[in-house]
Amino acid sequence: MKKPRLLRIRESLASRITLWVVLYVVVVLGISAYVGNGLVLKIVRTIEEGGILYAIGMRRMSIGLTLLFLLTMVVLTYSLRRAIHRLIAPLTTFTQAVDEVAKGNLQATLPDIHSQDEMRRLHRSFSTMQQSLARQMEELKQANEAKGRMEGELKVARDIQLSMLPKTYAPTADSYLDIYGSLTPAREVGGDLYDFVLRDGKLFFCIGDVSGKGVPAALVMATTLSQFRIAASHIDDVSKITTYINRNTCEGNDTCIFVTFFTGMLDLSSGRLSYCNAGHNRPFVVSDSLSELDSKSGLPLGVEETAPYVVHEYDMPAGAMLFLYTDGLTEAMNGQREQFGSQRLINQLNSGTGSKAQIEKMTQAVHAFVGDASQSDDLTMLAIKYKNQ
Amino acid sequence: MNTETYKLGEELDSFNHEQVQKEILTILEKGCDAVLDMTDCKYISSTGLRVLLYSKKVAASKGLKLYLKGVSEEVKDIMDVTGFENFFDYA
Repeated sequence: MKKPRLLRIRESLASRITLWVVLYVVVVLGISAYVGNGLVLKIVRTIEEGGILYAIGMRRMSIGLTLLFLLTMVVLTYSLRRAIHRLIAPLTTFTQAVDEVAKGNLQATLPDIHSQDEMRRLHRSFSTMQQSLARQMEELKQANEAKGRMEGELKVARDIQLSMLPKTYAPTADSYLDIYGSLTPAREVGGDLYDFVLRDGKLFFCIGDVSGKGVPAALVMATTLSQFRIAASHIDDVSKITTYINRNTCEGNDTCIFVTFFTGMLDLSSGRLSYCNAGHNRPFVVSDSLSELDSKSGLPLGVEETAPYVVHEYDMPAGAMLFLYTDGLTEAMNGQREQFGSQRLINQLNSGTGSKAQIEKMTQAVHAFVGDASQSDDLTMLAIKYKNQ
Repeated sequence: MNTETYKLGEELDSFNHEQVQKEILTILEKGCDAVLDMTDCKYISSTGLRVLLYSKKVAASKGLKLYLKGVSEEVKDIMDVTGFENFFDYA
């Protein structure tokens, strides 16, 4: 394994000092030897010249000096190495502790630092970082737990919301009707709604779109849906049904959420359709020809408590299909931010198909158009085919 | 009464509704009537409509007005479908 850089620096520093000292000693020894050798020659000459005592004295002094010098060097080297070691030793133990932290053990104990130098500052900074890391990890853990809990709750909320929608598509044993609906929220829960109730030979139905998305819209969706059920259980006049829900939606509506809402009542024996529009997309009537249900729209629910809602009427031809949708269909966007649009919708409408087949066909067309782009809005469709036996 | 104008971009939807809401409220906070210049605006979503609705309510609570100006055909169609066409005041 490669040694840590500081350790390598320390070792190279120590060995470099040793190298220089050794080099120095060799040079000094060489010079001494040379001088000493010169002295030997000189001694020979001096003996011949009779100055022997002086030469021997010189030689002893030279050897003594060299030895003293050597000793100094050895002591100096040793103490230098010791000093460097003492300076860097805390770093080595510190590195081990930091390694522990890096491995994820945020509670690892840092070694005590007694010096008052950069090591101490490093120790303090690292300790602060360690504490803040531990705190953030704890916060992240809690946030993740909260997120998990929220996701779990949202999943249950989604199931609850989808179970509020009508589940059975055969409201009567007879075959006056072929009815099918589908709702796909853009997020876990959404603000679209549809419903139908059969009472006294009449079909009451509605489709709606709460402004906004997600949980706030879903709460309003649920109350709107239950209000429709209450109203449709005893009120025949669709404008009165709409007015009833509007008043309740307006009450305490500080957030200005509103609901575009279309409700209708189809008399199954006569085929007479009366309907009321509170700001919703006009439904299509698909028979031999294709047309939008003509209606002057009132304000969406929740905007104005006293808003008037006018009833319109239309005679459904036998075999005609009413196709209701929310703007999540026409405004479904592809990767190029193009919208699905009314024309593509119209192209898919076909009087020959049954309600379920029609909605499945439309769903496929939207999916093909949108491709990999994420769903931008809740998508809801309701098809009602009147057969009039 | 003083009026102050805020000019909208091409769209008013969930991407910019918070910003637009803030701008309009800032004008109303000053005690001015707010004029929303919609000349360039080609699309308004239900979230966008909610911004207008909320702004109108806030203005009314302060005794002020919110005016729409230069509404394009595209936006007029949306207002028509959603029943809002006669709800707002136009400058």
